Amino acid sequence: MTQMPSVKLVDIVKRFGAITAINRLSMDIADEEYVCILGPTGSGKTTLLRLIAGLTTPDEGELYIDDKPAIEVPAEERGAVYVPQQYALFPHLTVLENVAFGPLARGVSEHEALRVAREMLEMMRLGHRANSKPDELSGGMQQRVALARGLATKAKLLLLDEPLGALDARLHVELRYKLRELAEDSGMTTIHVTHDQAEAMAISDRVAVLREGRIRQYATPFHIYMRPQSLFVAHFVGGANFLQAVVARRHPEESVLELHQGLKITVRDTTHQSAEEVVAVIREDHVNIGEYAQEVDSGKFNNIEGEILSSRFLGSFVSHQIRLANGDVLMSKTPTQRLEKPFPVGKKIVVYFKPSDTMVYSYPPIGLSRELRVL
Amino acid sequence: MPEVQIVRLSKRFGSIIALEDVNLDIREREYVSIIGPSGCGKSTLIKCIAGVVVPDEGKILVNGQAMGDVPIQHRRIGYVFQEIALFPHMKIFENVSYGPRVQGQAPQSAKALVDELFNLIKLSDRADSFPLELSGGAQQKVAVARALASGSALLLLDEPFGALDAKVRADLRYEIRKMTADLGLTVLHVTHDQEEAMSISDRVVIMKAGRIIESGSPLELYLSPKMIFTANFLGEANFLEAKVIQQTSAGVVVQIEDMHLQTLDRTRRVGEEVIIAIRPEFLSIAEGLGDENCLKGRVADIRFMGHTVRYEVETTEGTTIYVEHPICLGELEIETMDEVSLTMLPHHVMVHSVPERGLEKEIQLE
Repeated sequence: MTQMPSVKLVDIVKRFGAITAINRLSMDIADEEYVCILGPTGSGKTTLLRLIAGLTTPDEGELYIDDKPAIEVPAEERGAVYVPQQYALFPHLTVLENVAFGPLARGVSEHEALRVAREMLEMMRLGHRANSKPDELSGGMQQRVALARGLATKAKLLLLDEPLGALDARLHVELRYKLRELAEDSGMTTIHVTHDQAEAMAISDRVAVLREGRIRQYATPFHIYMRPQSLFVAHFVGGANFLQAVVARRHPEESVLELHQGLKITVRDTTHQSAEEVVAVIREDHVNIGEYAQEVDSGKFNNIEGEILSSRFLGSFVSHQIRLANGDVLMSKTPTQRLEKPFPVGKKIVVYFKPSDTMVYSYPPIGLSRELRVL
Repeated sequence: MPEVQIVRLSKRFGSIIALEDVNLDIREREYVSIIGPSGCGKSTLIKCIAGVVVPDEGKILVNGQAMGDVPIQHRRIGYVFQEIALFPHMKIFENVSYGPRVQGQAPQSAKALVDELFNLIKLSDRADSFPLELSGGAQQKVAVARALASGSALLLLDEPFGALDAKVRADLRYEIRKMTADLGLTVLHVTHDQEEAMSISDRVVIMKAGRIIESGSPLELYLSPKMIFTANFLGEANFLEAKVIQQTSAGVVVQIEDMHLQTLDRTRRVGEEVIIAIRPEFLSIAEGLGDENCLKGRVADIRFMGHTVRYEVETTEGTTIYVEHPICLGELEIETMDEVSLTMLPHHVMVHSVPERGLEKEIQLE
């Protein structure tokens, strides 16, 4: 049985003067699904969310909520709760009263509203500040109060605009799992806007990558990372190395690419023609580093000599910048578990990676740097 | 001679204690990051050094000279904070050379440094632009150049990248790090971003409730923190209640529920109650019973997060353990409800005393 989509957008267009903020965008969000809209600043994410919330009207296209046309439905009758980035708390009410306002406004008894409000504040680790006034709290705390107020409404559809944006990094990681857990437990359909790819990947069922008002890819986090449909998505989500190349030979099972200065690598991809200009993309965590003299099975791996340019310890990962023999520079990310100490700068090493870990794209007509540009 | 010495510094705002007996030595050319949760006092500390907040007690020495009576403009300290504060009506070049000019430095001598700074921030071709014509990241680089144009050898950075997008921020931190190393500066950098602090610092200082609780190299603090708060704050950790049951030549063996783990800790006694901390990425997961040094449980949830996969594993007594690492094809066969073993190396098992006020309170972020 196919699930009834909870939210459906069809060919939505929204213009602001000469700027097209949303450009023929269609997407479905299933009942109880958790979807992140991910994109750089100015990609149209907030506009998209406000369209669904009913705070702005599209110029063209259709919007359905629970299969019913929704464009003519006023915001307050859409069954949705919208938590904007600029959270507006009532300054004269306590934190608890602010949160209880959510359910109260939906006609819940005062006793029940306060009970739910307390529960949500505990969840947001703010139980001890229930009686404070908003202006006594830090920005991050105020944001959590606004989020608690949204969650406390138990609305069917939750629309969140950068709900964790003002939080310290460590708390951010902790609360994003809480948020997901809570949305799941209460059966809410959630649309969550963010520019933080790690956040989107960690909590979504599906991620929609937005650029210039269009969806560039809409898939599970696993698919977006493993099979990005464009160079932009590969760059914006997860990050990668981008090497300019020409297809030197095409075989039935694999191709040989020629990089700068005649350096050759083997790739599994066979969809590009001989002599075609391409970009080879290798995720940083697929670039392995070995000792200089190490034997690497060249039947299984591409292996290239290189030198460490810099090394950085990032906690669970160590990041190395490597100059290859042909002058290209690669970034590599190794789990700390596998590498107790970063390699020192200047050390000669061998880089190796699998042909199947290299993705190949046609060279973009607008040029590589413009294709990858985030802003 | 340490470049900066902070001795017994305290500061209160009304009833709130912002700094309590803070001591810190920073060596010449050292890059030190200060991190801690909101309200831990990290910004107050840097403001005291900059001279914009006056401490109640204690002293600050820069190159041996007490800063107590030195007014801000004579401290020769570069100070950059989160809000980009360039003069909007002045061109970039005028912004950067503003300091030397108002201090009455000879135009020629000031120009050499200003030119060098422009080269280092790679914005020489934008010298005639106005601040708002540049991206946020570029504006913040200009702010750093301006802070250094008067010849300061000490740079204070208070969340300088806080207002920027994640990708821009990551690039900029390495650029600023390289620039300060090239100029031979001593840097004190306040941030709330653990990864930022670990990736660029010689030393990381952890603050909590107005005090410095621990400091060390990023590797030391991440792999073997002395404080349980640090173990949680600098990265994720599973915390498990355990009991020391045996001493071996390698270190003590602890018992968690009915499972035994070898550690390298030699300081605990048999019978002692301890807390074990293990990072999710240091656990290897496999179906069935593992051999040595492993925990056992049942998979309650699996979540793919792009390049990593996160498992929630429950032990027989209901303790939750998280495992997270890069997706490895061999592991894709593991499914929810499977019995699994979680194997780890003894040196990845961190052993801590049970905190007096309880674990929850000890690792609380605010």
